[in-house]
Amino acid sequence: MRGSRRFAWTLAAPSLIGLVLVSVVPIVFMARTAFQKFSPNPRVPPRWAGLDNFWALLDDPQFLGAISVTGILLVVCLTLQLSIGFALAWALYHIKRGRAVVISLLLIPTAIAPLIAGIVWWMLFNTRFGAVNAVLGGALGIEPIQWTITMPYALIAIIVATVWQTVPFVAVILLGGLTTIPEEVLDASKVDGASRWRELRYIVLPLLKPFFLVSSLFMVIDLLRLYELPQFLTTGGPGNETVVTGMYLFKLGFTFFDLGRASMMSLLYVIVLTCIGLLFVRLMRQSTP
Amino acid sequence: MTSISDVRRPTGVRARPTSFLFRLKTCWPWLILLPFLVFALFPVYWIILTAFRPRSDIFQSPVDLLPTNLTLDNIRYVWFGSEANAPVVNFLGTSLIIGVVATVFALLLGVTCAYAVGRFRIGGSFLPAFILSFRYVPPIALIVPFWMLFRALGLLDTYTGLILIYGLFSIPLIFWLLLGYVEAAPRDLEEAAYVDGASHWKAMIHIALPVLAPGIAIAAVFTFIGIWNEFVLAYQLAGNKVATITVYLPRLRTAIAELYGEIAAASLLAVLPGIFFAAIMQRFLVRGLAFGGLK
Amino acid sequence: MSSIEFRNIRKSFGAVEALGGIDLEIPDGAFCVFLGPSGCGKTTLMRVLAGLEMQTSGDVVVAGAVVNEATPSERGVGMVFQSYALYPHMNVRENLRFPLKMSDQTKDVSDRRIDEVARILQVEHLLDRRPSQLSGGQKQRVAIGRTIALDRSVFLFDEPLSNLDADLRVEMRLELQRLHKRLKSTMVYVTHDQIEAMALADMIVIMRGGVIEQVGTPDALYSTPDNLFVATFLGSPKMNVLKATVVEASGGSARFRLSSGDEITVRRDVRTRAGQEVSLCIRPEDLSVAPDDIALPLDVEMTEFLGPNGYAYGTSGADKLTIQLVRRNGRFDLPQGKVHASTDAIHIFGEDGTRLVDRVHAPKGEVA
Repeated sequence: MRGSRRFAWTLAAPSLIGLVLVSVVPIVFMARTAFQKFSPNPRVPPRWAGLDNFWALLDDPQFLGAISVTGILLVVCLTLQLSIGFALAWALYHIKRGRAVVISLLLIPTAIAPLIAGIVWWMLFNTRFGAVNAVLGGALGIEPIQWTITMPYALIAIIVATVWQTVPFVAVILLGGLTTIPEEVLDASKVDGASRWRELRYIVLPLLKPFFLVSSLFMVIDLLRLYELPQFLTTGGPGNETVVTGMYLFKLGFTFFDLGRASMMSLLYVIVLTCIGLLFVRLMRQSTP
Repeated sequence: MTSISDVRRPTGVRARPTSFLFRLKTCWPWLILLPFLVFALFPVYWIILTAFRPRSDIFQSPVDLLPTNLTLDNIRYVWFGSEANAPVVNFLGTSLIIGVVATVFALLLGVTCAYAVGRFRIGGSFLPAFILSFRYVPPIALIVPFWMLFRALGLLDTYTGLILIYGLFSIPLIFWLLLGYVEAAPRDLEEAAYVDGASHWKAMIHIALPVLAPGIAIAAVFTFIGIWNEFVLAYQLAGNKVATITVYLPRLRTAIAELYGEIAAASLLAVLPGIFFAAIMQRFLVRGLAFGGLK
Repeated sequence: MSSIEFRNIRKSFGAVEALGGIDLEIPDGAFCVFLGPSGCGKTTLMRVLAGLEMQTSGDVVVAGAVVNEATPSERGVGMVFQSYALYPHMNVRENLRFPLKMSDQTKDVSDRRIDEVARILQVEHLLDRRPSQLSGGQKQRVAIGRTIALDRSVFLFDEPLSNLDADLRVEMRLELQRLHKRLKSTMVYVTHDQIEAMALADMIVIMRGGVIEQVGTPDALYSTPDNLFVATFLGSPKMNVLKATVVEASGGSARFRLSSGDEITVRRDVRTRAGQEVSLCIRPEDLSVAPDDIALPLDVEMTEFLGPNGYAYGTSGADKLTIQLVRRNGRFDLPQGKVHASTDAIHIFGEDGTRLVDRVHAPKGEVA
């Protein structure tokens, strides 16, 4: 119909302008301040500093520490999320009655604010008054563990809380993927003599590849921008050993007020996230036939 | 030439175990689901219980599955406020206002944008990918420049500032969710409306949007919950005059005594909308996630 | 020996009984067709045989052994699905290899077997393609190929031709017959299409509502249907059904009043008595314009001339009646008010649908 394109662009324009405003403008701004040196005194104007901020970050042990902590979390959590998530999805796939109820219940942790999850698990992991130590002590007779102030327990606590909050989401995506496999294909594999395990390995998992990729993408991005949960669970403790990149960014910008280095770190964040996004898009294109 | 007799026959019928083992084999999914359900729901159960237990009980026996000694003290503490904090209702209200307004704002922009792109295919294949790519940049990566910009523009600690930024950041998610629905809805109805003389606007408002209602509902729920639960922006870009429920909660932790019960009570109030929507929306969630999952 | 036996098989899905007490024997090497309308239980029965569904009670016996809790491959059963069910992420070669891999054949044997199967089904040129790149007929062949890759005792086909075009269907029907001759195995075939059933079957099992209505060769079922349902299910155009009331029945004859008011006499021993409501059935091709034992009134409404033969459609009293038209001296004989049939051609069924009169010249009904 006449005027369709004009109508469509009119509709889309506000969103596009808004998105550009809210993303591109800050990024450009940040790209400039990343190369500046700010003094704590707001009256002193910032100086041009070239790549100084970048090298400063690389020399900064806290920065490197944050990266390694985040890296460990990434690998461990992603593995747990995908494997437990798949186990749950596979189990859900095989039940008919009660599936809806179970999914609703499983999704409750995902609806809770990460901040609240952090605080609640902080209470649960408390050395003296926490439910975790109470259960471990009562059921297994284990001595109370000082979760939030010793390594590696602090890291384990973060992993437990993160997995608690994210696995159901992965399970739901993978369950959706399982429902796209035609039942007759699974029947055919049984008729062809495949045992349960072989059916999983040769038929189900290969066909789920795109869904594993999608969930991984979501999980990786979420893990990279982890902030509230570790902040309120361990506050980076003991010392700085559970500071993740998000937390360090905050510290740089609003505790140390080193806006220059914080901007540089933000810039790196954006670059890394964009690359990961592109990588996944390419992987997705390859795996769907 | 291979004859079929070269191919080993698959094993014939073996003696089979009794039906009992057979029955056990059919209930294995529950052996996987139940432990995780307990793991998933125990903290929630704990919050609910702790919110209603007196302080002394909480610290004497952290895990009491069926406590009999219940109290409303914790709820009263947060509800009516204390010297340290205003009543929780204030913060709930702030979150509600910001959440609703930002969601409506985001829906207005996002739904129309999804409709424009999905129906009229503007911008080729580049535009949808472009819009979706904004999802990869989370607020936390941009918090530093945002803070500086807000400071310069005088938007710090204002409703307007938060609503603007929440609204705009929610657009990609809404676009992503709704695109599938728009493409799946048949054009026939709108084309019939055009033939009847309707303008683009009328056709969209009276025909297309009602059809898209379920998708809009899901998008609204997801967006609202996301804003309700958000902390980083609410804390850094506001937090004094404009304080949401997420900003309020950590304050209960810096008090002198361990306010477990009170924290639990406040948390309970803060998680109610999320749980409520998760419970009733699960049907759409499974379908909707698989729907948009592959884009 | 790969005969099949169902002993009192029942299957319920919750409150719904899909199969109610099925007893059936299928001899080794037979091509057996389960035929019936949708929902009759034929696919359920096949899946119970395959081992994809577990029956609620009763035994399934394959080659003399009770296989109730055996997996499909342990039963020696192969199956071709309605949607072909090819593995979408594997190419044709890997699809054909899969059953061989699952029973741990060596690579050499597998490779040679794949080539042989591909040759038999003429899909050699497709071995490197993916299922999404195949046409319906090609997918059909690959599905059959995958089934015969292993030496199985029984082959099952679940409405395999229903997704194909008409000409492809005829071609594949012949392929299946050739396959049966070549492999000489027992084959069980599910369809709702009676023409397919008549063309392919050594024995047909007609089902309705979860029970078996009748078992027999196509010819036996066609000429000697046991009940009204079977009589009207087979045959196209359908068997004519005339409602009538018994005036009297004794000795070797019975008299009926038709809905048109006319009365006819059937000189046979009919198991009924005066006052009963019956259904008199005659096939359109058993009616003739030329005079014969029994005369029926016919008001012709429409005629169709279809080349070698034709049909005249009309009413006889309150019932519909169709007669097949034949040429005499190059021209069609049209009925003038009355059509005729021989006594032997009439089927009579009671109110409950059961057969009331035996055929004089019953064709061979036993399965070889």
